Amino acid sequence: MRLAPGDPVLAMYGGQPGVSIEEMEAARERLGYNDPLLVQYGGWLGDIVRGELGNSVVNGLPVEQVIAEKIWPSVQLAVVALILSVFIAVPGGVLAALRRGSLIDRFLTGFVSAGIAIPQFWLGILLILVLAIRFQIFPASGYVSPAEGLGEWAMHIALPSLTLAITLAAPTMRFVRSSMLDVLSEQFVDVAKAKGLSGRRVIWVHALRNALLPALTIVGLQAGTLMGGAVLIEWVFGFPGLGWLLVNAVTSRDYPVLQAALLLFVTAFLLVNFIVELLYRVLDPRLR
Amino acid sequence: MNFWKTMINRDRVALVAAVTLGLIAVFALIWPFFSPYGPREIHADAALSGPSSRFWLGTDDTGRDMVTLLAHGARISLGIAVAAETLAVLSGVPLAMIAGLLGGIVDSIIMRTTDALLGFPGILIGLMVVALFGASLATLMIAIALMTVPYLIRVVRNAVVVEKQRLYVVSSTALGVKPGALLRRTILPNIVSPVIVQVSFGLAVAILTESALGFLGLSVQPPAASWGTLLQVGYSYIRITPWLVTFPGILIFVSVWALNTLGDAGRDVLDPRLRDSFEQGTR
Repeated sequence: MRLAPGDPVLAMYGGQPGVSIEEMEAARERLGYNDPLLVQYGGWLGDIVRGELGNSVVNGLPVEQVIAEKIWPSVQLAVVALILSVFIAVPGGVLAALRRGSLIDRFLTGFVSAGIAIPQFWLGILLILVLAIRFQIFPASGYVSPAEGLGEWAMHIALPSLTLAITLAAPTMRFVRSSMLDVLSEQFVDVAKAKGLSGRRVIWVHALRNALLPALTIVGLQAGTLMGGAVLIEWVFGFPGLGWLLVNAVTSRDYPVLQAALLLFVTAFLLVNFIVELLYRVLDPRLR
Repeated sequence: MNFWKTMINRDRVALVAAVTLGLIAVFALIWPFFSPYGPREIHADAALSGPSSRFWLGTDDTGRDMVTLLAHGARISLGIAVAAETLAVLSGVPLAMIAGLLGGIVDSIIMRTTDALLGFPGILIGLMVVALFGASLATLMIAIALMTVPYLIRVVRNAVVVEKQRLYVVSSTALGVKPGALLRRTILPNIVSPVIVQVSFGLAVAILTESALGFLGLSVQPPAASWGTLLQVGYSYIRITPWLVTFPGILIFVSVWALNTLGDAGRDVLDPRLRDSFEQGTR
């Protein structure tokens, strides 16, 4: 990270009157920016092992505190978005598979290709345009913690999570549809019907359980990317989460925050992938 | 060429996508020569004006003609995408061939690195590269190439492994054909189509990434304008001039859709069993 052009000390003091070049040089020395890169990197690794992440160069607060404030909103956004997307994708995919080739199947297939191609943040902007500016139903930006009022919280989280849910649901729906088609052509479905089980029970219980397994991989991968913060969506909606923090750290050259945030993303990502792997084994006994 | 004919004949939607893409490319190439306005020509009297007979799609905050900006933006956005994909193909295909042909530990190293890259959210790779080396055209291309090259490597490597075991390849080796000639004559022709399909998806990812980084102000710097930077400007005037952020978005959306559709259609022709399956996500 320290290879990056741009000077954090200049960013700290730049524009402040009365700061001499000597003072800035002293600050550089104090913060260790004049040490060789390897020394800086080694020092950082050592600090991490000791649990020391340093202070933000922008506001001087400890990095742990800066990041901790942002984790909770991001987690809420990710969870709400994933739940919404599953509620769009699963019924949609099943319906499209059952009515294969029908008008509704074609409509949903269109939704899928549009949802994959649309730039996520642009969809967010369109939703702001229509639902926050034209019809002022939802606030255009910001975040209210659930402790301050559940209603306000829901209103603020609605648009960003809906934007994420629509774009996340598209690939999942495609996946549910195709694996549902595969499952419906298998023998055990006929057997279940022959046993006299109702059509609805066969579809929603027996077939769906098998069809959902591959879709779980997609949802898991999406959860992993969401842990890295819905970077652009948080930026568009001024949502104070990890993604917002990351963009802010990149533009203000706040290296300690940037490094710690990226470290957190990688860890969270690996962790989520591990959990998905475990879930897989629970749902599919054949993998044990 | 037979590949493209089969594809277009079989898939009407792919035809629409191809025509759309062609129109956008022609617009980008030709419009700047016919436009009454230059890309940096400022009309302060008409800044932030709406669509009119003088400025068909309105003007930006400095009073530049939006149609002209969109055409020049297309040159930059599509140019970055094409350059990034060229870089990806030139670096990815040889690596994938080496992995597929040699196998063993070389294969493992290349493929595990690929897996690691694949597992990481694309936009984070982009942000990291830009944070490391600063926002410039070169960095942008490298970042985008880095995001799309793993898909390319995986597809080509698997194709090479399959081709390698084919009877005609094995018999050519037995007949004493040198490895280099073998590669050129038997394996290369067979991986051209999968590469083309993957490049189509890669271009879509590239356009999306450029627009995202441009929106964050990390693409080309003003007065140069790409589709992404136009979105950034449009977004800051969203309450006054909603059309500013709408038009570039539509162009991005349509181009990405067309490229994905062409890629899907191409894959269906290559392997009809894959129809409806999900291979590469764009985000």
